[in-house]
Amino acid sequence: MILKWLPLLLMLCCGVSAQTNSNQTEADSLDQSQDANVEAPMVRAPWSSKTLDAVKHWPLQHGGRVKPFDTFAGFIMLKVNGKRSLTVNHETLGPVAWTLDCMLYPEIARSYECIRVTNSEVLTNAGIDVSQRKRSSRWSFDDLLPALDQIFETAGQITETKESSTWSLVERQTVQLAQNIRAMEELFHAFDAARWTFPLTTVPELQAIYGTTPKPGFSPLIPGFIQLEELANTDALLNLPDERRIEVVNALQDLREQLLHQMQIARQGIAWFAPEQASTQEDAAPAVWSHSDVVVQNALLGSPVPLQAEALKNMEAMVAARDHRPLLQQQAVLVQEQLARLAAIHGQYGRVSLEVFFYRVDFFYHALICFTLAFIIACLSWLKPDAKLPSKGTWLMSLSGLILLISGITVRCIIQGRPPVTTLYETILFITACCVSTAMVIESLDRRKIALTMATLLGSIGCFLSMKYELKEAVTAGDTMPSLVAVLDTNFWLSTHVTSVTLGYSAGLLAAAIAHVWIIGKILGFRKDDKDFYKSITRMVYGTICFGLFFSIVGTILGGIWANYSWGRFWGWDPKENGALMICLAELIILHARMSGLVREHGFHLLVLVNGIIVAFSWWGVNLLNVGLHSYGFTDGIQQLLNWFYGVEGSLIALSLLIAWISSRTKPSSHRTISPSK
Amino acid sequence: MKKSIWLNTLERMGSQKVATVMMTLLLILTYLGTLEQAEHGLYRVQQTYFESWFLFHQFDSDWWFIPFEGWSFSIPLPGGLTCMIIFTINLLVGGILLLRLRKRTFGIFIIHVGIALMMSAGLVKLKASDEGYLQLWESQEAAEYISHHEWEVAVFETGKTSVDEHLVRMKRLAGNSELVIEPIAGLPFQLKLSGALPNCRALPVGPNWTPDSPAIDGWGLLKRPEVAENEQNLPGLTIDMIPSDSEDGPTQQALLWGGQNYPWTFEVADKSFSIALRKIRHSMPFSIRLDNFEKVDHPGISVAKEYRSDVTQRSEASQRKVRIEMNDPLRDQGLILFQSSWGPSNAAPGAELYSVFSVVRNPSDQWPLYSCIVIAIGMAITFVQKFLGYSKKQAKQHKEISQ
Repeated sequence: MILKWLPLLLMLCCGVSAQTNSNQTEADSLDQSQDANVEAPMVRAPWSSKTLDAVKHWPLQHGGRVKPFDTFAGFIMLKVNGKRSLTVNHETLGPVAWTLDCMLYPEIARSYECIRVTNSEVLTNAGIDVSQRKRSSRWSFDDLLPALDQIFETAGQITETKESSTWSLVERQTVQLAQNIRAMEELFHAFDAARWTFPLTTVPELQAIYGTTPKPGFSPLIPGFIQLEELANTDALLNLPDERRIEVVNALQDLREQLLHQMQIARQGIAWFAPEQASTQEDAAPAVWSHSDVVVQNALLGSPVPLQAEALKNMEAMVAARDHRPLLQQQAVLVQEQLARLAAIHGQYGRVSLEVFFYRVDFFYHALICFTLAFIIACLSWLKPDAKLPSKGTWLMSLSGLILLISGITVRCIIQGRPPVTTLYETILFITACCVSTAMVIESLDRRKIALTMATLLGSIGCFLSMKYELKEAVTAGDTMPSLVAVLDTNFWLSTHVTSVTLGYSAGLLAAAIAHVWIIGKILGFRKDDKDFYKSITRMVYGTICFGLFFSIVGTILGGIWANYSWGRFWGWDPKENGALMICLAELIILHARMSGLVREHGFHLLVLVNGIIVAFSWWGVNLLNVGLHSYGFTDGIQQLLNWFYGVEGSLIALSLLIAWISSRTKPSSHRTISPSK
Repeated sequence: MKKSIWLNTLERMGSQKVATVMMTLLLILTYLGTLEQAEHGLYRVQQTYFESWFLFHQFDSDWWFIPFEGWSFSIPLPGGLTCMIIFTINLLVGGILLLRLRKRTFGIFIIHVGIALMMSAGLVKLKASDEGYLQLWESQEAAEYISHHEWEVAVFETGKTSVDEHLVRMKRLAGNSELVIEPIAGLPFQLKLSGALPNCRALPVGPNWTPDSPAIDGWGLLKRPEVAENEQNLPGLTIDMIPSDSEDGPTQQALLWGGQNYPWTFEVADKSFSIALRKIRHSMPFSIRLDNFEKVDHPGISVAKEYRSDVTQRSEASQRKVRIEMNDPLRDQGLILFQSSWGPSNAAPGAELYSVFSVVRNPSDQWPLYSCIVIAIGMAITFVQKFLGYSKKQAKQHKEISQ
């Protein structure tokens, strides 16, 4: 950064050997910043809904994209707190209220027990007494304050000395805790400059520029920069009497150091300000938004940014008015309008409101409720199969869930301007929607309530998993709509290859889910004399496998063609490619084995279960290997869940085989009488 | 009528049972090969599992069913090449040649034709393609690309205006302790290559280590374990230069190492020659000059949004400007150039970057696309037929129930 008048001032300072009192370290300054808040009240009035609504709509640039403050706050809170709400003194804080508390009332927010520590061993290692707490509990910033140095030192050692793939669980949790504390510190300091009163009245020369009662923040400084430059001019300073010159130089240097320091802090904060001019070049890089320090820097460089400066002024005025709710609300609305106007210059505000709406409606949570209710009703309906009301209720709730799910996915597509599947999180949503809709189509043909019940179960599991995985995305990526790496930035291939492959996954999983009914039904002897019931299941599974095979093969080959366009080879035996190939092979084996008579109904369903395991391996398992080109899909911590799935499925297959073997020994001809369903 | 033994054999070769067994073996190979990549890297696994005739897979204590550390056992498996060849024969015989063409099997026939086309694309790629990379700084021009994995010994006479290179591919040394190169026309000597090490370091011989090669001029080769990322392996070997005429001097011996910056230079018959161990270079029928390279990050973070190269493609007859970017390669005269990477990875913001292109020569480049279309049509026909049949059956059943 080049500050126009600072080199001059520096030279001058050396020339006149001025005494400096500027040995203030960053830490001292931060302490001052905190001390300045000591006298502040320890309670605050509740936030008005209008204020929260205005702040929610503030646009900002974070993680490579423009998003509303609501999304930013939601994911920070999810990352630090593990959920999007916190109850403090009988008041339930949402993400925006919590974040505003952190930014405007850091002295109060420091005592909120909102830092989730899932393993107390992390804190024990840092020297904190955890005997009074549960293994997994929430701590306040103040609670952790004595151990901060230790936590950061340990986390630093881990990141510097080890590859992240080799971190132990405790090491990973230590690094995550350090990141969460850092995220909170960034919020606490986000408005430091707005609270900071710069030394503008130390000498009469400065008073002449800024008056005797300048307000805190960067904004009061900006209008006086031209006069300040004139004052700092070498000739002007040399014209002053010796005594005055030393005083003025000292005052200027003090101001310079405090300004630099606050600008340094502001640079770590949030990028609020879109550039005032849009690029007209065709290949122009995306606009980079500025932090508040750049607004000051531009003013110093003589290229002022009036719209940004105005927004900054109102933002700082809002901080100053934090205890006056009506004024604060007014300022929040004003800031929202000004930031929106800046974003609109680049056409980047249009989707901000839609994103706020998306998180407000919470489509997937409500879809989960619908599917869960539908599943309960479906289970009850099995007790009285002829009753029509439960069946209608199941249909209604399932359809509602599906509509919510598809609406949510569609809104996400509009916000991102991309096809529905680009990340692992989105695969969960898309696969759930595909499973449910396919099952409902099957139900409309079969009408035995088997597929519908499966739809409700898969819908519930899918929505539940998506919510759990959202938390994981918050911790690792800080967003579920991240910026894509260059190779993925192509809507054509995302909408053809990825969509086809995930449709193939959906069908494989749905087939496996329906096959469970056959296998478990046989084990439990459910409707053992109803051959039609079991034949109907076989037909459904067979059709679903055919449907899945179509999309798996087409999707896999399309993936190869995409790889040929991007990396120069159709097939590279990359783990993700191999996973897709395994699904194609497994489904081809199922069809050929059945047609050639190598397996009959029982074997067919067992193979479909194996195919379900292969789909899970391809979808999640290969990402755990941490090798290959498909690095955008890597994740961790899923292994345990996946092992459980493999174990349960393996045990079910083994149990089914065992029972079939025992049955064939007692009644040797019973299985041979089952002919393969055509 | 009794079938002939040939027809019987043919039918068995093309049976669905053989198809099922081959696909099951391919599935197992793919699964094991995928897991092995975590330890041995893609290149070695590809060669061992997918491009081999036969292999032994070792199960060790990483597997849940082996309870004790240090225990292991191996099982023999047919390699990917074996499985794919048998599978392709099975497909051609059973799925195309002997398939009775009817309305019901028409779609299946088309699917099999599509898969056969795709398998043949793979075979052509395996046998007739080569690939490498081309790294250029801005304003730099090149007309050859460098193999990712394959090495060669290049021999040429130094001090001449036009360099006539004689090349020996390292592959020829595979499995042999030594290789005597037959006399090359125009060269007054014969070469003997020996003691090839797939990954090694050339170091000055000292008291603390014993070289894995003869010590020559105070230097030796130290064998290193092969690393999973094959590009990082640096081979080495010993080379003997045997003059054709004994009057031209004695046999000279030297070490060649993949990491050395300069070739070995010697004199024989009053001429100066150089020998270098280097990655194979393939020439292109045109040259590429990098005019401009641009890497655009997502705002505020260091994730590349796109990177693109503006190049000039020059041949004797013509010259044209082309943009190569992710998902949009340059295709010309059987070669395809892809924007694959950039560097240096630790470059400071604003510093000059080089662009890396993957270069592929693949005669079957577009065949997978055609096969995809064929397979999709075949599957659509088959499954739509089946779906319509299923729907009719269900409707009939519901009608019967309601009556």
